[in-house]
Amino acid sequence: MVTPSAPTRRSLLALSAGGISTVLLPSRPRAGEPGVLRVASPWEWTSNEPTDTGYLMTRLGIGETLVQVEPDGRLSGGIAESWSVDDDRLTWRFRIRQGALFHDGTPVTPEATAASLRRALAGESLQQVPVDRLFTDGPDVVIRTVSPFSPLPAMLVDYAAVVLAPASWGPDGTVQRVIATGPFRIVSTEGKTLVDLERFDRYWGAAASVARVRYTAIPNGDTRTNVAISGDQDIVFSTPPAATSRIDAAGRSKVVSMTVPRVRVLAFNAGLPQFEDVRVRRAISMAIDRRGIASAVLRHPGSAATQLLPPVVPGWHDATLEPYAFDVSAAKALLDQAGWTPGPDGIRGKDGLRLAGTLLTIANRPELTVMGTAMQAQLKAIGMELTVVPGPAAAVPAAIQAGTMQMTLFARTYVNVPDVVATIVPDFTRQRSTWGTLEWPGRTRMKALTDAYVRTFDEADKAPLRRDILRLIQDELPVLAVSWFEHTVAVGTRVGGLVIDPYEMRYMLSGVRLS
Amino acid sequence: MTASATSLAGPLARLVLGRLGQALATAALLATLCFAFVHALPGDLALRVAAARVGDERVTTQTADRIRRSEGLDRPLVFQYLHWMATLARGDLGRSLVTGQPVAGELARHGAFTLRLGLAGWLLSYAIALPLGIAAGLRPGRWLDRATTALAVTLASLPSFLVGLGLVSLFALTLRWLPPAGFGTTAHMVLPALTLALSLVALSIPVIRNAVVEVRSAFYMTYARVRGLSAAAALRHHGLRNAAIPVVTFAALQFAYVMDGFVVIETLFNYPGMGELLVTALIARDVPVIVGAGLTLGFAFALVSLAADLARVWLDPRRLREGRP
Amino acid sequence: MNGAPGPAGPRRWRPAACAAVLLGGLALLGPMLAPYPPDAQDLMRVMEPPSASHWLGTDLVGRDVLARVLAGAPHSLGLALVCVVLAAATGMTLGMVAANAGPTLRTAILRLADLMLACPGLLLALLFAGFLGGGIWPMLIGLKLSLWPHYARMAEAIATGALRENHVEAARLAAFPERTILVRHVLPPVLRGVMPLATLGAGQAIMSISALGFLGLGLKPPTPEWGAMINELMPFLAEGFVQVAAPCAMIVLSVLVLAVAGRSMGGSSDAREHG
Repeated sequence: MVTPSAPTRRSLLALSAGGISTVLLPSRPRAGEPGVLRVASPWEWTSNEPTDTGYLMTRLGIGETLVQVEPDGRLSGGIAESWSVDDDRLTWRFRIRQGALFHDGTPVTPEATAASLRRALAGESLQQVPVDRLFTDGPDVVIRTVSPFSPLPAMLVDYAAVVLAPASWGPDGTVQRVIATGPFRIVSTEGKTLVDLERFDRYWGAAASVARVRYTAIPNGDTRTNVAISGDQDIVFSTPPAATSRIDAAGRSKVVSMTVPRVRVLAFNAGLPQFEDVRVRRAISMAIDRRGIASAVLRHPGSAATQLLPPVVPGWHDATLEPYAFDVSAAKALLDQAGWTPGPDGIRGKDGLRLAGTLLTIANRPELTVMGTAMQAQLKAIGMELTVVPGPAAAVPAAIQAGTMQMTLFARTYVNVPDVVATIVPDFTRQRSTWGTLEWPGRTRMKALTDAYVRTFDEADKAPLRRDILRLIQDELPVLAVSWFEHTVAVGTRVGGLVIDPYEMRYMLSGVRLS
Repeated sequence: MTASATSLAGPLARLVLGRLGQALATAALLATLCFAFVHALPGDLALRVAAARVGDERVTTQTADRIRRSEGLDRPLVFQYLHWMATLARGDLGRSLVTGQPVAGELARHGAFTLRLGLAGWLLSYAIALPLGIAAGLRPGRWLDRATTALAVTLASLPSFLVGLGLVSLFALTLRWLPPAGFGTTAHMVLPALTLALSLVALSIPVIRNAVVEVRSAFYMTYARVRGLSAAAALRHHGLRNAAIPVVTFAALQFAYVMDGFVVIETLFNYPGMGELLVTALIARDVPVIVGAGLTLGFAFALVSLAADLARVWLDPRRLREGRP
Repeated sequence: MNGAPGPAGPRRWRPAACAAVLLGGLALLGPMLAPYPPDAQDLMRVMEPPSASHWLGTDLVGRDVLARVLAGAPHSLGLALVCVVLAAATGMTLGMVAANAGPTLRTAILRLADLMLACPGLLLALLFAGFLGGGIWPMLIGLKLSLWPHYARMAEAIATGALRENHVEAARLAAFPERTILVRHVLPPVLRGVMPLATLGAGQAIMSISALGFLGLGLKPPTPEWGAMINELMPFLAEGFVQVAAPCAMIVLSVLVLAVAGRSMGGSSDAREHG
């Protein structure tokens, strides 16, 4: 008699033995080959559109914009080798680089550049630019603005303005293939996670030193730590600050860091009765122990903010400004002065209103929630009640637009383009900003300052305007900086020549050497 | 015509056809539920999609408006649903709102990764659990049973993220034998598959063991009545066959459980499978991907369920005659 | 640990009862036992090693880890126990009804179970958390919804088998009431089959809740949920091993206690053949 059980068991075991080997067959050599630079960061390659993924294109050296920014803040030529503005202060001429080639070998012409730019200007990133006309004139791309707009070259560093070859776009107007001009070109992508790059040998500038780059997106911070410890990646961007000692101790990578103009800020709805008085906002600022938070939560005491931006941005850090103070008794005195008196439960009140607020933070940035809870405890000491609500990132601009935001703690980079004014305008001059103030009465004064700034072409006249803008933010505190970002990079032992760009515009991989 | 065909075919064909129909219905229902659910979630869908596209800190309401217009998210829901059904009827699952890539392609790619990992982990788990479970169940109370039980209990008490973290810190960070994360090579597969297998082993050992014990004790009663049949033959004849029924039921249930494991394991190991796809799609409110994944998972599960039913019919044909698979 | 069956009947249930009292007590009283408020921060004393004032050290914002571990018990433990009891009761009832019912009701119940099973539990919990804005109730509903079908299918499979046993047919022939048959002949094997699954299931629920917390998708901070604590403290592993180990140990020990209790109950089948 045939017994059913024996074959079942045997075949299952056979299946498992054979199955595992067949299942695991597809095999690629574990990347560690000479000449392949393995780079990881949290950012996924979500799509081919420069408006969406352009920041990865510029960071990885795939795509370039007309103008680039050097790590020291100087603007330099990208696809445009030089630029000038006519005496009318409206007509900008960008001279397109001779001999530059797209990755498919076709030349970079003014016409192709203009066509690519037109799409970028239609997107929201560059909408601040009052463009009148965009056309070509011999070797130049000409941009005419409606009104004088001095930050235009800086605006063109925006990653959305990455120049792609005409063949990149399909008939439906979407990017089918990324054919750009950078020192690296895409060999293949695998989902959102892997991008394989090779050196573009006919690049207009100095050719990259490494022949191939394999980029891996690793959104999870602990996993990034692990690959840096094990040496599975050569360069890992944005490792968690707390993991630095573990990564260094493992000996495969060394963590280097730099304070960058990405800021964790607390923004208020200045239209609410509890926050409309600048004295309350000052008291809150004084009650926050920025240094304590920076050393305990962020593991880097130097990242405690003293004003909106760190010293690394030329012109936008004013060393003469009175730094944020930490003084709990002065904070209490200010609240007393403003008429907020302690209630029976220790929480202050005024005219039947409690000094309380809901703090919206971003769940994806775990340190923000921890900082929020730290501030919750610190504000309780001055008689303010804070409810911390972590939410998706998109909840912040949505709450600001809807006018429902009370307080929010988020991270904001003020150098999406190298001129900070491009971020000040959407964040500080509107009734409902993009990522920042809400119902701030000071916005009209700020608007006057930024309007004057963009009309000014003389660097000597711009400096005092910048100081006024920074002083207004420091005095009125519609938004208060809590800490600056410490941009961390774990650099493998076989990597040399890596330069960190505080603007996070480029990873500068073409200068990297592998030993 | 189906009626005559099924009446001509045996009850087995009826079972299979019925189940396939149910599978399709289940899948469609699940997909529709997903569609309704995602749209019912509070918050602006276009804004979430926008955040996923351009990155959390760059999203603006203007981006959301652009996406709303270009993806037709401003149209009435009923219209969007009918549109989706019409596209689906053409065999097209649509395009991801985030990546713009065809959903079918993304599902196939992520599904293949998960299938590979799941199969490896599942087979590995039975390679460990079947011999141990049967051996333990045949001699309950002996040292092997106790040791196996201790192993299963310990493994069951460890959440898979802790198992994964432990395996990573041992094999990847300390011994440096295997990569801590990633995909593409056999070496990358070992740790996630082992993590999955260990959490499955913990569940299947006691089920296998108890099933064997249960049948074995039932068999002793039979044996007492039916003298003459040798113990071993009786066990083979009745025992393992019946013992297999709850095990098969359980193995099919595990398939669904495995999905949970994937969410954790794939996140931990940066492995681009279905779990990772679903979580990111859910966070990004990428409706076509969520709905497509619901459809696929529903259908896959129905097929596994059918396979389990067929296995049970094979083990115990009485069930079919009674019309209950 | 191995839960070898005791010779006498009531003693088998003693470990299970102890476990229930222990874990239930911890879930209910944990917050009251906490030596400090679980959210009280001290940024001057972060990641301190265990000391007389902080037995398990302090965490990344200077909160007492012992206080947080204890205060986390209702979230990590209590929630899981409630989930599983509800899910197992629902599942067993529906499973036995299905086994004993006509084909239409049976198919309906099993299809519903399949439908729920096809939806991964964690994701179901996630969907509910998103839908209802996070918190404990959505998690409870999501997990319960994802758990009951397991018990239902298991109960149905065993009950169907049990109903066909000779002595059941004999009881039917002897015109015993259907309820008596169910309670006397179907419920015991169903319970025996479901119990190991349910105790492990309670462990699974503890682990699911902590996994969600670990992934940053579960209960929101500063809720002292064990998985979220591990997630928060993991980067500090090198300097704060005790702090990371404490919530890990709580999870593992809770699940272990449940598993041992389950073993001692499941051991009844062993006893039958030795006895």
